[in-house]
Amino acid sequence: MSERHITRDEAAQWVSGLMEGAEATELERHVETCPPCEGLVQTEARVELALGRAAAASAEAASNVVVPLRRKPVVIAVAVAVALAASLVLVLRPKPPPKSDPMQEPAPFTVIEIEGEAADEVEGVMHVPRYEDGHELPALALTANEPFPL
Amino acid sequence: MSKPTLRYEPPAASFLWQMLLQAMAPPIDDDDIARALKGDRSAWERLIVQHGRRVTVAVLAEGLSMEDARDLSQDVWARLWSQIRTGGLATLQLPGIAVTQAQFLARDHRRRERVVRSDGQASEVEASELGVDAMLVSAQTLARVRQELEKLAPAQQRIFRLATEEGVPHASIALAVGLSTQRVRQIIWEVRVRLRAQLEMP
Repeated sequence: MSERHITRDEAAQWVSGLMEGAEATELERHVETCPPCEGLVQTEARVELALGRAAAASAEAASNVVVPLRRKPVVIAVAVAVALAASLVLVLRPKPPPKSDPMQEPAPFTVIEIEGEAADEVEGVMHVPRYEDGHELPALALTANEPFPL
Repeated sequence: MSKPTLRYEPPAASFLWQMLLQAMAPPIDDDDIARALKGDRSAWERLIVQHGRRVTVAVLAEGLSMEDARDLSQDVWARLWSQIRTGGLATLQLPGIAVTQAQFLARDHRRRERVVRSDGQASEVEASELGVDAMLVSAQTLARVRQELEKLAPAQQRIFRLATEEGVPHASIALAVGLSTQRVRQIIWEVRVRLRAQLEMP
């Protein structure tokens, strides 16, 4: 390369880091001793900085734009992962014991002890089931127009 | 200059693969920056290798010769390392801080050089720089370049920004986007050619 002048493309490749190794070293060596080629590299260096400024301005403008969700693959991926995790939790979680049906349960009862004469009759203490809901008013008492004997 | 057809759309099937690659991709140079800030000389040298070219290019853009640009870049890295060693830098944003410092030193160097040179040479240099700067710094031109960049596929824009603006190594970009290094370099070149054409438009 030291035998000839560099091209604009070569200067551009060097400033943008696309030329490396021996080729880049040779270009640098030539440019040091060749003012026209040095000028070419300086111009491409200014171009590189200008393109960098334009890219930065574009990036800044892009950061102020509301991007549709379909263009945010990471957001979509996170949302899908959360949905899948939630589905797995719902499917795999231990099931709670089924609630019993009050209609199928036996009625509550109270254990009482019978003493005295009744106890004599049954010869000892016995357990008698007694329904607790036996203290309700008769239905007629609620609709009666007159005092109702209880 | 012919404009190559530039449309790169990653296939939908590779979406998960790309996400996996991105998750596996190492942080670009954050680790090296953290190590360098703690005084790790080898990490600092890796950062110089990674960003050295960009600093030299920034100095060349100020109109300095290749030889001066190299010397001045080395001076910038030495000054930054010295600041790190003395605890003067709590954070380090590369290549930004090195480029800014290099541009400052380059302008200072140029000012001093003008004083030393004859009047004729100084005015000649100044005139040529003004011409190029007027072409590049024009807001209209930059807007045109920006519009052209935004016409490209998002993957191409991202690759170009990572390389040009942030100075990320091509191999790291390739790993981050799920393409080969060669393809990444090709995309950077194609995008550059296309955007460069916008700078030349009247």
